[in-house]
Amino acid sequence: MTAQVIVVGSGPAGVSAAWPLVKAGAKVLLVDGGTAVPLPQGEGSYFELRTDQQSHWRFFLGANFYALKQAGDVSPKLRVPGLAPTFAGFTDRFPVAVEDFKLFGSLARGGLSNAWGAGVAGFTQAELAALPVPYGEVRRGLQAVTKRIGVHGEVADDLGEFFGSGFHLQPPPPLELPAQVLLSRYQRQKKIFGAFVLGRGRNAVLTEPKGDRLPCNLCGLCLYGCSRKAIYNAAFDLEELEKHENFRYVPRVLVEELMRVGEEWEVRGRNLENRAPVALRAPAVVLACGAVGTGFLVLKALRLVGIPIRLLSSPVAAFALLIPNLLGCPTRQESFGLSQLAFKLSFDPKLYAFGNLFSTSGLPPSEFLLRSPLFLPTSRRLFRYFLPAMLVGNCFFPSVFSRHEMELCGDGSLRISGGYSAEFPAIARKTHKALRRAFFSCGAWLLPKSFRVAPPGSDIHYAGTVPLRSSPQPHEALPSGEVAGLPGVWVADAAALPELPAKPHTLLVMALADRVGREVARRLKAYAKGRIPND
Amino acid sequence: MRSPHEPGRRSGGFVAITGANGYIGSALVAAAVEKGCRVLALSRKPVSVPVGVWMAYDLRGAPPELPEDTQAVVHLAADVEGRERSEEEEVEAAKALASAAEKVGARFIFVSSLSASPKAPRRYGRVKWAIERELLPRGHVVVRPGLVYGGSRPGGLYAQLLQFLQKSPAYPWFFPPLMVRLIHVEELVEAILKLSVLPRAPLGLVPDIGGRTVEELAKVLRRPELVPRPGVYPLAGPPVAFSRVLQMMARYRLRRCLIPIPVPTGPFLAVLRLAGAFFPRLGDMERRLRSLRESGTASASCHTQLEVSLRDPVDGLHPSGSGRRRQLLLEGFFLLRYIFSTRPPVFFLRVYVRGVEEALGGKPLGKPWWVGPGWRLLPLLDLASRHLANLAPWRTRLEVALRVGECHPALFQHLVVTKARHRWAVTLEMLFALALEAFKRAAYLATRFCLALTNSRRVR
Repeated sequence: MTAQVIVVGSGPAGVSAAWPLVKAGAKVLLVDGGTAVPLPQGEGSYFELRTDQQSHWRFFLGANFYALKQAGDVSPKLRVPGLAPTFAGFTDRFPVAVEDFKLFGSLARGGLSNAWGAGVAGFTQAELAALPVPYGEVRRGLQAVTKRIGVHGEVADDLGEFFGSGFHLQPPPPLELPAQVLLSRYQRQKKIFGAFVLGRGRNAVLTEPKGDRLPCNLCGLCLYGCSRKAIYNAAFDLEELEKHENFRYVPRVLVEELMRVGEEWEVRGRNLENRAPVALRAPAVVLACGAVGTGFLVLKALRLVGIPIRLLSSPVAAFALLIPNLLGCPTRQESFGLSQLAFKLSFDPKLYAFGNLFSTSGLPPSEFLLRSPLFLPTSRRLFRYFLPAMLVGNCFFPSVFSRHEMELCGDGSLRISGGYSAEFPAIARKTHKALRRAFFSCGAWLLPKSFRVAPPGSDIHYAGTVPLRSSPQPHEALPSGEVAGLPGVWVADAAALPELPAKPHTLLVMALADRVGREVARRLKAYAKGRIPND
Repeated sequence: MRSPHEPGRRSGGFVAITGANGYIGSALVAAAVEKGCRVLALSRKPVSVPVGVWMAYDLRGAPPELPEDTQAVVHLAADVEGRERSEEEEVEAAKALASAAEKVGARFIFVSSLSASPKAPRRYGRVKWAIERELLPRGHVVVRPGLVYGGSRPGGLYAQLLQFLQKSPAYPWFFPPLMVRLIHVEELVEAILKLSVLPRAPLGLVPDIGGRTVEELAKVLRRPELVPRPGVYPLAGPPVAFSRVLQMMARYRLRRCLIPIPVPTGPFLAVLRLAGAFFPRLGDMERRLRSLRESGTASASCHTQLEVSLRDPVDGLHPSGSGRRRQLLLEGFFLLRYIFSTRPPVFFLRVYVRGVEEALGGKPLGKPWWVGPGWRLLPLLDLASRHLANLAPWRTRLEVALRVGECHPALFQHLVVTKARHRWAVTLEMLFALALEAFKRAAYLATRFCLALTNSRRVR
């Protein structure tokens, strides 16, 4: 098959760009690292696994003790043995030097969506002021993607509008006791809060069946990967795409550079197994290999050596809440491990922090005990009662507080340095104080010293290396998504975002990728008819 | 003839080993090969040496023709039972071998025994003594090991004792105790290798550095191995009761639990001696026990001088030779016991051991004081390991113990609540836990304060 379009990367952006192309009949070739991440096997809930089966240390620690080897990582997710193939090999194979920055990437089939927290949100026109794209097109993309991946949420509560209405939504899963208490206390006295808004979380998780994907059964194993395919993963879309004749999947390739050869683009890379060179040609290339990967390929194709460019990510903090009224209630056996509640804390009309609250039922107790300043046995005695009465939260800040830079070095490697802006520590302190007050009014104590800002890059949702601009500089992209100076190369992932709000942007990225897919399909059709495509 | 102390021609030469097929010999050949030496194995029966050659050698025959580049000759071969050769023959063989070594300028290391003495009960000790007398004036090195044990190929007395303990349902518990001194075969081999291949400074003064003696220089440089000079090197651990050694061999090496039978030492030996008149084997046994007892009272060991650290016999007797796994198991047991306040399931401890092996390289962090009843003081470690850098590895072990422990259903029960309880009951329980912690912290601070006080007084 001679390909018309090569899509680089099989994450949520890659498959979202591939769908409209495949539907339009274009011959699409999707190339990625292709490491398989097997779905976790086995029956039973988190609680049953923990309490019934002796051999399940293998499930939680990994047969080769992966969880213990990753003990230094911030997030418990990075210790999950089942997710090891998601992150495996990226930093070894990718020529990158990082400084004060947490870099994660994936060579897996489905990319980082294998370990996705599944938080989604819609966007209003005002929020997308910096994006030079007609809002109608983004909206259309958001709706298409929401329908395709399956999202649950609540429109009727205080955050309904913030998350966006007019989407096809499945009903949210039942709230667990601490979340129920918190939400009802909030709703009873919401007048006093002002800048703080609390509501149900919105996740790309099924609560009703969809194709071969089963709805959530509250097994509490969300952290460890969903065996029922309830949590969206781009690999599911890839599976569907592979059923089309005009789609070809080329796994186990690490793309290294793009070269213009005559009228076409040559995507050059190496086979991950035998390191043999791979070269694929097509008139159009859609880059969807993550903000870092896409930025790297664009800088390399434009030969922009030694010029630092922006890399965005949302600073993130984590904290723990205790609802003292619930002390003494037993450990719940059913739970939902992803965002149960979400909150928005506004600093001014445009600037806000956003966060999610999670149940503690599916988290290993060791994560709490090891962060406690008390003796381990004392922590154990306390936390066995605390945990059923607790919620853990994260809190994202807009990318204006991040100061990360990325630069292509002369030897073809990448250098990334991270950092926060000067005013960020004060903002974080302010947020901490405001959250402590707001949650106290809802009957929850923000545990002292639990509010911790994670090191730069920890949120993993990097963006902004090839932003869309109405008048792009070199390495930036045109509003259509085509990279300035590289006609025929399109950027379809988070690299295209000029700014990051605090709210989750994965859905927005997928909507923009969908739009790029449609645009490329349109151009190809025009090209086939012999007309010179116009912008 | 070149001087054996001539420097500069020591690297890469052959290390000749007589008795290379024996208990110590085979271990020495393996260790020398591992260290990168070329080995010249000398024995009656052929030995396969990965890096080196074999030459036929019998104590009765002529000394072998040593290669020009032999750097050391280790003389291990001996007629232990004394049935085949006369005492004179053995002494002559050693002398001839030493001459051969002198001819090519190689060091000569004779492995004697702690029981070497002119009045030794056994012929073995007397022969060793006679050879020593011949070699020492000629400026050679004599190593006197204690009772050698351990290793994957047991031999000598160690093998005989193991054989006895394998079959016997009981072992003798001598009183008053009959003391012996042990040395692990790997430690002995390490010491011999150090004596044979380490650079040796010429004897006398070092003119360039203010005319110091080599010993002084070595002291200044803190490199005691610089002075392996001619003389006697006793190598043995501290005295241990022989009965305790038998018990440890059975327990840790053979995994057998034997019944101790009290035996009065003096009368027992007397009876054996009498019986020896009629049954030569019993007489031999009596002499053996007596020579063991004598070696137990022998002079101090020089292992520190050679920088050889002696292991605890309990560890050395384990099949691994170091008791590494046992130490990890013990460490895991008490860490889990501390964290979960209950006896951890012993079978599950293997997960801790494997976790430490896989994730942390598997080395036990020495023998901690809290393995045993001292585990109740583990809060001290828990607290101190948070802010003392040298205790940070223990913090990691505590983390591993917790992460492993929560994966066991029974231990996980200590982390969850299965039945609803009243809020106030829970609060009371938690307050009690906090009060206990406060008390322990106060004790910790008080200890630190007292230590600081005594330290400052000492300084004054």
